[in-house]
Amino acid sequence: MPLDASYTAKTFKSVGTRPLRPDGIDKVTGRAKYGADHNLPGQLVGLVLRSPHAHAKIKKIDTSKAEKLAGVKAVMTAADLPDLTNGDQGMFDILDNCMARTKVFYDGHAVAAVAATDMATAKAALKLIKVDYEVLPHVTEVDDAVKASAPVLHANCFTEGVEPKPKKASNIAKVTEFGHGDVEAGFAEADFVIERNFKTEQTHQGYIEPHACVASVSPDGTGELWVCTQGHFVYRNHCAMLLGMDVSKLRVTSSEIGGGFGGKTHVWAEPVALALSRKANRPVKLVMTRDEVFRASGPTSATSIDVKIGIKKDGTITAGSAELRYASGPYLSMWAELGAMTSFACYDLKNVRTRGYEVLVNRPKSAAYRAPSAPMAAFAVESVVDELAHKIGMDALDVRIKNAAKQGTKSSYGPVYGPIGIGPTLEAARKHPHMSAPLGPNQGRGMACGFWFNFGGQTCTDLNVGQDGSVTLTVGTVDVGGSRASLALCVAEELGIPYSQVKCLVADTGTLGHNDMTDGSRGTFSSSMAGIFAARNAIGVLKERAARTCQGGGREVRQPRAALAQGDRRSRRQHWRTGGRPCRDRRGRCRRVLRHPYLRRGSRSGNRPFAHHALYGHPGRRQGGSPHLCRGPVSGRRRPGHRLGAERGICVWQGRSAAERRLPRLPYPGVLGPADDRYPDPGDPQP
Amino acid sequence: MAEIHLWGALRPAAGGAPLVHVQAKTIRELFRKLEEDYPGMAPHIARGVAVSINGKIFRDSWQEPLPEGAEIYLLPRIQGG
Repeated sequence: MPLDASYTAKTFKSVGTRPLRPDGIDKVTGRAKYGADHNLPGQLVGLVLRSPHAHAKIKKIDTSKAEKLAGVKAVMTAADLPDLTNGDQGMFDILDNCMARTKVFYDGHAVAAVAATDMATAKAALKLIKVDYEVLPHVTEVDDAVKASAPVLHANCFTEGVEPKPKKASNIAKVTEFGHGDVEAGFAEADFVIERNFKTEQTHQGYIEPHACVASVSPDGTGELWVCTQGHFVYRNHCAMLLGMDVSKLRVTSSEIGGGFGGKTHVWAEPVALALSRKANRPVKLVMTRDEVFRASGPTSATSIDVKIGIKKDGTITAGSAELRYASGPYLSMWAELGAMTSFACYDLKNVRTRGYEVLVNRPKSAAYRAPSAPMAAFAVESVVDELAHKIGMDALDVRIKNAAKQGTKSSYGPVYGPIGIGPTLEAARKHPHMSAPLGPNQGRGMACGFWFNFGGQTCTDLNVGQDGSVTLTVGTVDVGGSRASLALCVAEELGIPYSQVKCLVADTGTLGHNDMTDGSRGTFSSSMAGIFAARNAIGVLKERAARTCQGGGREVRQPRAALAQGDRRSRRQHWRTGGRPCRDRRGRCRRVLRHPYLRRGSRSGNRPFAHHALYGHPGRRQGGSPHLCRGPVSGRRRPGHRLGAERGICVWQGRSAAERRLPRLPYPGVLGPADDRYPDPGDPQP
Repeated sequence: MAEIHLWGALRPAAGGAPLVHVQAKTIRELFRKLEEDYPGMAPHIARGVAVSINGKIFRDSWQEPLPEGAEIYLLPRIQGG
C-alpha cells in the first residue's frame, strides 16, 4: 500500500503519549511468565551434553548406560534428528548446530541430550554418555583463520564470490564486494590518507533470561512448544522442518522475553526438546544455564577491519575503502556482507570500495545483535573520520556534515538514495545543547554516525470488538520492548478511543497467519500498520451497520470515532427514545446512533461478530543514518571504583533519520542513560 | 530489457560482470530468468536476494513490477537483530 499522505503532519491524541505499559504490573510483581515459568503435568527435565573440545571428529557415542539408568525416559543424538533439509544448506547448518553430527566445531557444541524425571537423574545420565572424539587443531581468531596454514573447518568450503573458484578449501566461506568509482585515483587526489586496522571482540547479547522452552509432542504427531523467542512463527517453521512435522501441527507460544537483542532469532535447544519429547512421549522442559548460553548460543562476530580514507584540506573525503573480516562461527552467514554494505553508507563518496570476508572459526554460530555487523564497521570508519578531522584541523561534526549522504547520493552499496536524513540529524546534533555544554573535569565529548536498514516483512493481526466496546488487538510479533503499548496506542488513535480500552495480546502460531520475527526494527512498524488497517476495516463495517440501522446511506454517516465509547447511556436512551430511527444533525447526518451497542453486538442482535483481520507485507524497506553524541568522563583517568556511565552528567543523544515516518512520535530523539536534566531533550515529553 | 546491477558475490556467476541485461517484468520473472541464464546465481536466489528498484528495496514482494528504465540492484536479503 502506498504512503497515505493524508496521515502526515497529523496531530495525535494517543500516539506519542506515555501511558502505563500493559505488561508493567505483571513484570514488576513477578506475575509475568517467562520461558522457564511454564510447566506441564508429567514434564521431564532435559539436559544437553556438550563438547569439551573446540574442534573434533565424533568417532562414536555410546548412550547405552545412560538409557538404562532408572528415571531416564529418553536419550538422543543426531541420529534422532535425521537430515530432512532436502539440500537447504542454511537449514542443515541450523540442524548441525543444534546437534553435532560428524564433527564438533566449538566448545559447547551439543552432541547428545537426555530427558529424565528429575535434574539429578538427568545430570547423572549425562555423565554416563561416552563420546569418543578425535581432537583436531582449532582456530578461534579471525585473522588466524584466514591464513593458509590455519586448520580448515569444512573440507568442502570453497570460497564463494571469487573468480576463478578456488580449488583448495579454506575458512573464507564467502567474499563480497560493494562500491563504485576509482578509489586509487581518489586516494591520489587526497591531501591526507589514513589507514588503520581495528579489531573488535566477539560480544554476547547478554540477555538476562537464558534460552528456555517446554516441548510436548503427542503420539498423534501434533506438538506444542512454549518458548522465549523473538519470533515464534519462524521457530515453528524451523522446528517443523527439522522434525519432519506439518507446520500446522506444531503450535508455538511465545512467553514474555527477558531480552533478546537479536540473540533469540535462532533455534538452539527447541528442536532438541521436541525430539526428546517425541521419543519420551512426555513433555520436556529444557532451560540453558548461563554457562551454556555463553558457550553455545550465538554471539555477534569478532572482527578485524582495515579502513583507508583520503581527505582534502577542505574536508572533502576523496575515497574510502575497507576490508572487513567477520567471524561467522562454524557456518556461513552474511555478517561481513552487512558490514561491507553499511560501513560507508552514511557518506556521499565518489570513490568507495568495501570487501567483506565471511570467516569460519571454532566459535559458536554467530547471531544477530542490534543492527548486526553495522556497529563494528561504523566504529572502524568513524574512528578514522575523527582522526582525519583532527589532522586537517576541522571539527569532526563539520566533516561529517560536509560529506553526508543526501537524496540522490549513490550509496556505497549501490542504489541511489531517496529521502535520507543523515545530514539534518547531524545539523540537529550541532545545534543541540549537549554539543556546546561546557565539559567538566575529566570529561570528553564524542560522536559517531551509524547506518542501518529497516524492513517491513510479513505481518498478520486480528482486531475484535467486544460487546462493551473494548477492543482486543491480537498480534504475532513478539513484544521485546513495549510494542504492545505502542500498538494499542496506534489502534486507539485510529478508532478514536482511549488507550485503556484496547488490549493488545501476542497470539500463538495457531491463532494467526505467519508473522516474521521481531527483528530489523520491524515489530512496531509492521504490526502497527496491520493494526491500523484492521481498525479501518472495523470502522468501515461500523459505518455500514449504522447506515443500515439509520435506514440511510453510508455516505451520510459521520466518522464513528465515538462509536465505541463505553458507558454511553445518553446515546442508548436517545436510541430507544427515537425507536431506532435515525438520529440526525441539522444537515441530516447520523450523529448518535453509532454509539449504540447494537452496532457492535454479535449474534444476539442479529449482527455478525465484530472481528477484523489484516494482513500486511510492507512492500519495501528504507534505510537511515543515525548520529550519536556522547558527553561524559574520559575512561583513561577513572578514579578507583568509579564506573563509567554511573554518574550524573553522562549524556547520550541520538538523532534518528526515519526515512518513512508513519508514526512521527515513536522514533523521537531520546536521552539514554543517566540523563543530565539541565538539558531536557526537546522531543522528550515530560511525564 | 532491464539493466540489473549485481553485488560482488553474484558477479562470478555472470563471468565477473557488474551488470547484466534481462527481459523481465516482475521480480519473480527476473529471478527465474537469472536462474536460467546464470545457473550460478540459483543458490544465492534460494538463500535470499533483495531487489532495489529506484532506491526502494524489496525483500519479499516478488510480484513487484520492474519499471522501464528503473535503476535495479540485486542485494543481499537483510537480516535484523
